[in-house]
Amino acid sequence: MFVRLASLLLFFNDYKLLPLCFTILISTLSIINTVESNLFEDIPTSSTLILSKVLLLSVSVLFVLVSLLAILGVHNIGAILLILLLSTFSSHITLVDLNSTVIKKKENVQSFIGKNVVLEGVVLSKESASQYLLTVEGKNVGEVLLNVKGYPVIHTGQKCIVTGDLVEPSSFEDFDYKRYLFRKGIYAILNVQEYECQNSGSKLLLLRSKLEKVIERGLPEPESSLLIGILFGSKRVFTKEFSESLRISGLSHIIAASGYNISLLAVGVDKLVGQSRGKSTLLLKITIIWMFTIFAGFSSSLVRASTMSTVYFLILFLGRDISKAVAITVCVTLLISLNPFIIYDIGFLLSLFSTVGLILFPNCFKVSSKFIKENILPTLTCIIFTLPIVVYFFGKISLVSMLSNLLATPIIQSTIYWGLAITSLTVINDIFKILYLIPYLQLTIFKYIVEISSVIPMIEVNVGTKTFVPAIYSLLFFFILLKYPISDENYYIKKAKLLVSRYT
Amino acid sequence: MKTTTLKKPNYLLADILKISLWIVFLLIYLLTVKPVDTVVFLDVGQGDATLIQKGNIQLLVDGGSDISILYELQKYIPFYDRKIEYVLLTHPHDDHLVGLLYVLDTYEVGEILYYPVCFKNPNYELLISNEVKKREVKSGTAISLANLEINIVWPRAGERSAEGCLKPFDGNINNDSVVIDFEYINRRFLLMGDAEKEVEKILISDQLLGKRYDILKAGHHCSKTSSSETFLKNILPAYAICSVGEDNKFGHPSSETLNTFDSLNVQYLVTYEEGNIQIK
Repeated sequence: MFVRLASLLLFFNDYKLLPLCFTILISTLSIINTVESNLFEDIPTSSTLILSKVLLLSVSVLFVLVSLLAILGVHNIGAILLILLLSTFSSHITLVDLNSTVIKKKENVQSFIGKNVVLEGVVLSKESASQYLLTVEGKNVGEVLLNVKGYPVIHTGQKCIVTGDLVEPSSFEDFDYKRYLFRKGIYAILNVQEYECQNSGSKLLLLRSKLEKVIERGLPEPESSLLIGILFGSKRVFTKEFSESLRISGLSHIIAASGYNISLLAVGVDKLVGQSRGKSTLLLKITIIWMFTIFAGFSSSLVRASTMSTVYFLILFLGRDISKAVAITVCVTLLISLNPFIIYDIGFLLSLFSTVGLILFPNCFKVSSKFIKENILPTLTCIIFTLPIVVYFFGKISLVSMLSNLLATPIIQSTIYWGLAITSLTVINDIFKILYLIPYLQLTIFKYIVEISSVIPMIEVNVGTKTFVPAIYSLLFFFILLKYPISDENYYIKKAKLLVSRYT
Repeated sequence: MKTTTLKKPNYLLADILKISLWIVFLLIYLLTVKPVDTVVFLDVGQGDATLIQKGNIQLLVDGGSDISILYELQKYIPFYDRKIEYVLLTHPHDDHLVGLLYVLDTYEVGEILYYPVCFKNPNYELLISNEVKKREVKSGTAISLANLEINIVWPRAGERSAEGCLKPFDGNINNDSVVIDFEYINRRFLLMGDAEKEVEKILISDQLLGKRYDILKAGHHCSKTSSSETFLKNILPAYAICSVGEDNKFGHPSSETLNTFDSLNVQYLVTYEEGNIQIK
């Protein structure tokens, strides 16, 4: 155990990027709560306060690292000082920038609250049957949630001029809705009285709307919405019963385009290219992944997944022999530096932890059965690694999710390929619409799996303390540290053995 | 730590097999699934929607209040048939109308049939401003779906207002509901829309209806404002259908009406209990 811990430290010491990322992450995330609640209460956090806190945290993190290394007899003060400088600088910039932009936007919004206003902007997404998200142009007020009465004739990507009363969001008894919206960068709701939209907003989003229309016209509901979710990750309206069934069955992640789709695309490229795989394949993968993300209208979950895989492929392309774990650390640091509030996005946390789990956990087991290796182990990993988050936020877990995921994933594995191919063909000629029958059959089976597995209710889990979250993740960390297959011939292991042996 | 997985060449074969398997499924589906001649009272929550299908031709009477109509339609219309030939709006209340807007967005609709009553409702305006072909109907109009004659028995055309719409019968828009009857699959059907007792009275006194019906879609979601005892005695339905959502705020179906059904030996079926009620 000590040998492994020591070799991990040595690895850290060699890959300077890693301690840098971790210092940035720890210092940013430790302060983000203070900054967030101050901002929510309209209290500005002074830049010097942020700086002192960031500095203090960075120093303590690095102090721990330095002392641990010193025990091992490794000294590297110069590099550590550089890391300290860089991380403090980066975290400080991130937080100060966040602080000032949010304050500006909130002030701007305040001046319009309670008034009848005319806003112009591009519709970003459909949030529910009658709610849309609008990025307002020219007023610097962030995004505004539109409440539309009647059957809405609005498509995402359109440029709209809307008139209505601007109000502050209010929270419900059991849900802090105002804060939820605040963290998403939404500070106001517009109760729309009149609206006029034109197809001149975002070309990409309009293209997506158009493709969604093709699918809507080619397939019945809910299959068409499921396919759109799988392909583009856009939010769709289901009946109340079906959304509930999706939630209970633990399958709702499948219809939110994310890392899974991106990995399927990468596998698809491998299949197309066949044996001849070189560096150009990596570039092809990056191109295809981004084409897909652009096509899907830059939904946040997809952008995240694409950034992550691009970082990984780029590093491979540059010829550096690295692990996915390093790539994901770099990427998370990047994403959090760009928008620290992402940490409040449960979807982000779920996909992050399941990805980390998938990279590390299955390798710790030696299994010969192909079925267990390719199906059971990955599904189990995702469930174990997301369980603490699910329990923490929802207090309820799905009992069937293991079984339903095992049944559903093989069925809809090829749906994304069929969907993409047939939608492109249908755009060329309507006659190809008939081919939608194949994804339709797959999705109908999926639908039945959802409906049948939702019969088994979720169970409430009541864990008194919140400490179980770090406790479980620490346990998983040590488990992986011990079990991860590393050869005895590994450079760091050998070196660590040598260093540790001096103490024993 | 880079891991490279080398693929065995027979993986490609497996892929081709998988693709062909799905194509075989597609062909089996196309060969086996045929549209059934049927009338279905769809369970669309609180609202009305009835599908009449003859071969590839459909008439959809109302669409319920939300997207659920799309979930139910596909259970009866084959996958490859993305055209609904006729859509009939009985009257412009949202629980009959909004679902039709979803239908218009996702299906190709041949013609919208409606009685052009004057009523302010943005969703109604949206429906009639749609570019799909429209036909105004009134008492006496007949629609034929490949040999199936559907008679419009109500409403009588009101006076035309300056805006071009027709003035309501008595101010209660429910009483401007399109009422239809037809004989199909060896049964006689009467669909009342939301028409209430006032209309029932006229339909009887003016002898606009037949002597006996097998299936009655009872007016106004089986509320106590419709299905009077005299009316039921006159048309003697074997079954009455109540198109109702569970725990709705209106208290439909009313126990009063259900008692009348019971006392006259009319068997009643409620959509939220039975789900879709299909007659074939």
